[in-house]
Amino acid sequence: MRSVLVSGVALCILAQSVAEPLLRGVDPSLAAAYVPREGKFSCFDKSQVISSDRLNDDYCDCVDGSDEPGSSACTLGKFYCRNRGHASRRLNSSMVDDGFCDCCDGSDEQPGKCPNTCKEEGAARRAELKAQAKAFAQGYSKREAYVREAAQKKAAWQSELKGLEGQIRLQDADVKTLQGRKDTAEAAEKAERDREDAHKAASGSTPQEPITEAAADVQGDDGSSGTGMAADSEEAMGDDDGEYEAMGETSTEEEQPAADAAEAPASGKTEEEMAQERMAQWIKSDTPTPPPPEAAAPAPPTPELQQLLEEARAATRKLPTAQQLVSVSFQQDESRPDAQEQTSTEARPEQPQASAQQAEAEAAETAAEASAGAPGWFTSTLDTLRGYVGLAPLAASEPGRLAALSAAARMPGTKLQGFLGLDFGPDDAWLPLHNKCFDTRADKYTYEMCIFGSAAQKDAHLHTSLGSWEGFKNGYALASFTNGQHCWQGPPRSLQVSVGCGSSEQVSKVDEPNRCEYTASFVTPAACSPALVERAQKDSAAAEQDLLGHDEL
Amino acid sequence: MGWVRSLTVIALTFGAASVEAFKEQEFKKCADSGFCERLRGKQGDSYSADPKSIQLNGAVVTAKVQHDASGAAYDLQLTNYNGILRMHIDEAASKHRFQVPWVLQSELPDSSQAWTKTRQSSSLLQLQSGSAQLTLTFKPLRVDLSIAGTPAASFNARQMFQYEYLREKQEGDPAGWWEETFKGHTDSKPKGPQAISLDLSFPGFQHVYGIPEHAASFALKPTTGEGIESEPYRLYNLDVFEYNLDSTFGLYGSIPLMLAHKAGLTTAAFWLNAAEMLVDVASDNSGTQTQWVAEAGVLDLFFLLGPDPATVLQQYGRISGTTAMPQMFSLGYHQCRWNYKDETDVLGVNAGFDQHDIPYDVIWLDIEYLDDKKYFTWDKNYFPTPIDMQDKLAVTGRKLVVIIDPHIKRKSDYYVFSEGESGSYFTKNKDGKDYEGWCWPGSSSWVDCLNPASRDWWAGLFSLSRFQGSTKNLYIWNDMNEPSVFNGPEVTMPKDNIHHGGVEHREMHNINGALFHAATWQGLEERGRDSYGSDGDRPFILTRSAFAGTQRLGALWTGDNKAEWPALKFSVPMCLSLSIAGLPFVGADIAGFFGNPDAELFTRWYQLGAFYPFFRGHAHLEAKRREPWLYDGTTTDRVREAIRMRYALLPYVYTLFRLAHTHNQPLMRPLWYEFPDEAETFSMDDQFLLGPSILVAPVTEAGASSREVYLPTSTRWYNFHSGTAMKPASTGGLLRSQESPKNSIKVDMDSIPIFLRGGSIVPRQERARRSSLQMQGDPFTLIVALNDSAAASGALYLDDGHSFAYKRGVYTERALTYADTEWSIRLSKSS
Repeated sequence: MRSVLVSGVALCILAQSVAEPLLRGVDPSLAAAYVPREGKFSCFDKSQVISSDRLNDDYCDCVDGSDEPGSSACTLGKFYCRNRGHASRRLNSSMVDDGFCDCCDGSDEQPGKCPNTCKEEGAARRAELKAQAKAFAQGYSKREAYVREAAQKKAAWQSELKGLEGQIRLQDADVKTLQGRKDTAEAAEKAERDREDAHKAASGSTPQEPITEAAADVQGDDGSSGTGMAADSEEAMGDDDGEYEAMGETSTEEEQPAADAAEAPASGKTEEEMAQERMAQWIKSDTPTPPPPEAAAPAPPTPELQQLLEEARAATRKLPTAQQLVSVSFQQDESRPDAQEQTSTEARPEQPQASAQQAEAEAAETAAEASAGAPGWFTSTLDTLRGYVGLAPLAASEPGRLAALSAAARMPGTKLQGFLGLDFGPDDAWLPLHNKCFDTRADKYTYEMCIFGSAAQKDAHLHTSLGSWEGFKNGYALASFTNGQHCWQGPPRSLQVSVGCGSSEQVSKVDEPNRCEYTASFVTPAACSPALVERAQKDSAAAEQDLLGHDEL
Repeated sequence: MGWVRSLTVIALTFGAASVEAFKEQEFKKCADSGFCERLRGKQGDSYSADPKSIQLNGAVVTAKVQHDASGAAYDLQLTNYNGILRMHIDEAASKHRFQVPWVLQSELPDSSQAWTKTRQSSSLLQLQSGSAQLTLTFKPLRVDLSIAGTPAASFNARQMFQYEYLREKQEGDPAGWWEETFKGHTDSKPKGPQAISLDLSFPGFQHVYGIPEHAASFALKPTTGEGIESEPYRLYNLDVFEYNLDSTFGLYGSIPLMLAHKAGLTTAAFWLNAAEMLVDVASDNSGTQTQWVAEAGVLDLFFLLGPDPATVLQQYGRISGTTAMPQMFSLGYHQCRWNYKDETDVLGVNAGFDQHDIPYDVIWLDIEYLDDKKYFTWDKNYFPTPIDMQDKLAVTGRKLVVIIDPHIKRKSDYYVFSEGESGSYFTKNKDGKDYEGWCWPGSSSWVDCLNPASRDWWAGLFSLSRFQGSTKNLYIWNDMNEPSVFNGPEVTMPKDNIHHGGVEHREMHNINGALFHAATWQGLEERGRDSYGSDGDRPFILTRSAFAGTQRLGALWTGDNKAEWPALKFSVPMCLSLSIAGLPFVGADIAGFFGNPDAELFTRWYQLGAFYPFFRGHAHLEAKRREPWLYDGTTTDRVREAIRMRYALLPYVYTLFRLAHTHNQPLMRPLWYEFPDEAETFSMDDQFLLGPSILVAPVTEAGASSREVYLPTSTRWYNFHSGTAMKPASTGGLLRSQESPKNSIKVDMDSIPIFLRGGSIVPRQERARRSSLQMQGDPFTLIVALNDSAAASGALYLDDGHSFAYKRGVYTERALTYADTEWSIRLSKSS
């Protein structure tokens, strides 16, 4: 069968290429291959051997384009521009003689067509590379400090976690003991009730048993379990005078609200604290003595722990305090609605005034606790627990609260454990950025990104979550936040942050290339490495070399 | 551009339902339209021509016709335009029924040719012109046409012709004559019943085509007959969200041209009428019968006598004009998305093409570039320096296209609105006030392009001095021009709206989009002369809505398709139907507007799309980004290859457009267009020809490892990619045998099966460039594919690629021939 396709009739030939010392467009590192051997040129892919005069003749002979380094004839060809004073470049041959100046030295177009802009562009690039090399070096030295800080912090967290765990173990034991005691109290109460019922049945009389100040109404429909509560608890714990006294005092105090309100700010303590202190007094002797926190003076808690403790405390605060329960238990005056309401709903929205007072109180508490550290908070939580358990009949209707309180007590430990499980990158260099936030403005929004936390788009009115920390990807080249707020009829928002080395933290280039899929750039010393520093220095040095006119040939 | 957000707007404004797929119940069926319900399938009304009234005057026969039952009187006129027979029937007393303007070419009357009377009796008149014979039977009224003795078409063979005459309203008129309500929209119908039923038969023809735009098979399927339950093909321009495939439902454009083809004869009928129209197709052993029902207008029917496909298309070109010669850039690749969000985004995508060495010519901006959806403005937050941006694109030959739609935001401080209002350029409602409806900008009014003053005003808005931020490298996209009205009946304008001259919207609906397109064209044409001098600059305007004549203006895309395999498959019959109906500059959104195509579908769509006459990638706002390099590297390589293939073929494609411009020849052609006697091809629409020489067999199924390809038997074929002959001159043993021309061809992901026709010469430009402009000085390569006689021929047309200078002869057109004896290419001036 004979060939039936005839191809390649060039109708139009471009201007002849101008003779040059080196063939146009040849990469100097490949120059040797273009030195004619017996007047022949061998295609790099060995597909053909052609006469040397067919090099750069604007007709593509080699499939790989190697015979046409200086023309646009071959689709796969590459054109090399020297760009003296700037960086050399390899262009796709499609860009050769296309009327657009790609190389700053203009060599990709016919002579006279393009001005040489390498000097200006090269200077700008050298400055840029120099700045980059400097920033990378600074970043890397900062990173060393980050690594040291990370090691210290990690150790502190580990030690704090250990402490918390020990305390939780103790607390669990306490809860168990107290639970046992509560059960005993309840059993005793039941036995008493049975006895009374039997007595009533026997006497045939029906008048309501006179009870002590304890208010049955607190229990609502479940009034029967509250019947005779104070007496019963007194009975159950009757062997401890202090306990009785403390409760009595609390009750007395609650009957004088005005005095109490005036007293709290004066003493610098909240009602809660005072109640806790008191309860701690009368329970203390019954409980195993906790070991002293540390033999040595305890280190101040890490900011993370402080924050966690505050969170846990806030969670605890949402539960009615033992003091509140106590006050209500012993409250006879039903005309005090706020006391009643306090126990009637767990998630009752706080009244503005009360809330302001509480915020003030909390602030004071936070300050106090920040200096006191973990043990203080633990003691108070534990005391609260004890308060519940001590009020056995009341607490019997609050098993969920007991559990919640116990869980709240565990929270800081669990979270610390979570922190310690995070991937902080090589050498834990990212750890110092834990929960630090950085932002940038783009269009009308501020974009905030908290490393290992969450990311958000904000303006004056809106706070839109762009996701929570998912982790690093692509070998720490990308930081990923996912599962943010859903777009209307769309996917949840997400943010992918490309990570680079820099002398300080900076987030930039926020974009939304796909609907609800955000991207940004972030530089930090944490992402610096000796290799990056070295490369930046090499690039900068190479650019300077270019300026000196050094040529590889 | 879709109207997902149209629903959003409605949801927010009117509390309507949430977004979901095509809602069939929101659109009318035949039973929901009084005129269709009255006339569809109705048979037996008798109309007759008065023998005494017959007059023959050269090319024109006139007669008085009456409806025998009512005595209603009509004028019939039959005119011979040399291969075209025009049959015009209107009410005898002038009732000012709407005669569609703008479409007909003024040169048509020049071709009128006298009839020769061959027979006249008391019952019929027979006339001859060339090989065409016309028989007019008086009672019942009937017209039969034959070509060289072969029956071609019959009018009223089934007595389904009906012509509702305009009348006074009377007590006891049937319900629905004077008012109709659909989905809460009341149509006041002040003119009462005025529909026309056209009865057309194609005796001996088993295949009919055309009457786009439908997402349906290329060969039209029967809609009536035994065991068939179907809606008629609907011609009513509508913005249909997520339209169904394989459906007779009316889409964005309407061209009432139907072709009938059989071995030995191709013929066609064109009804120049812009009202809503429904077409039934029935088929039996005797041939194909059709009924066309239009809601208003007149009967103005053109028989195109053929006798072959190319001649039919030329005849249609004489009636409605030929394809505009497009700018070279518009044949390159277009990159679109709803939306490239700002200047950085636009320039970033632009740079991405260079970085990935993929050629492209045009980047597009959908509606988000606007300030508050006000056309002729820019959102200054995102596009603060549009002129700089266009200039940066232009340095490598790239253009910008922005969307400009016909709905004008009603805001008093918006100059387009205030000028339109004070100039009375907007369409009116039934009460004569400016019509207000809802579209992208909220409350809007619509430019009334039936009004020449509105068109002139609209055109003026495109001048560089008036359109701030525009440059001469900016071109236009007309969307939503059906028109789409979010709160209107069937998502369009009420039929009782009033246009210039008191014309009801019902009478002109289907040409609304084309007239708007024409006004925009006029604007760019004027701008071109201002910018470039008398040779000007050819407008490029993409439209979604179309009518007969749209081919004179520019390109059309097939609207809001889905990124799914069936949509890829149906894009071929959709484009073929449009092409064969005289609108060749067409394409579908690659790789599907709605949704996210996987890499395979994405690749396959580019491989097919490179052979669409209009080649654009587009995606919905909520679709993931999908510039050609955003999949894996292999996919990028394949898509680059497909796009480069298109660029390499630009000289061939441009030459084909020259043929479309001069001879009205389509680019995408069914196989029977070139091989009219090969009956196997008559219902084929899963492969096509691009021009005469390239056969494209797209892969439209996931995971395909082979596909059936039919290679017409009367010539030899070559594998386009490898040059391998598919059939030697006289020996067997290759992929295909004469007995079984349909063969299974292996496919891989790198390409789709493409074949080069033996005997053709295809000019190419092999050098990959950034854009078509940069290819101007590049050499040509001629691919010569020999036929059995070792000969081949082709053509090459070249001009400046952008201006109208070709009109004064500034171009090169060469016939290319190769003969065995010479072993050289002969370039000769085309005759």
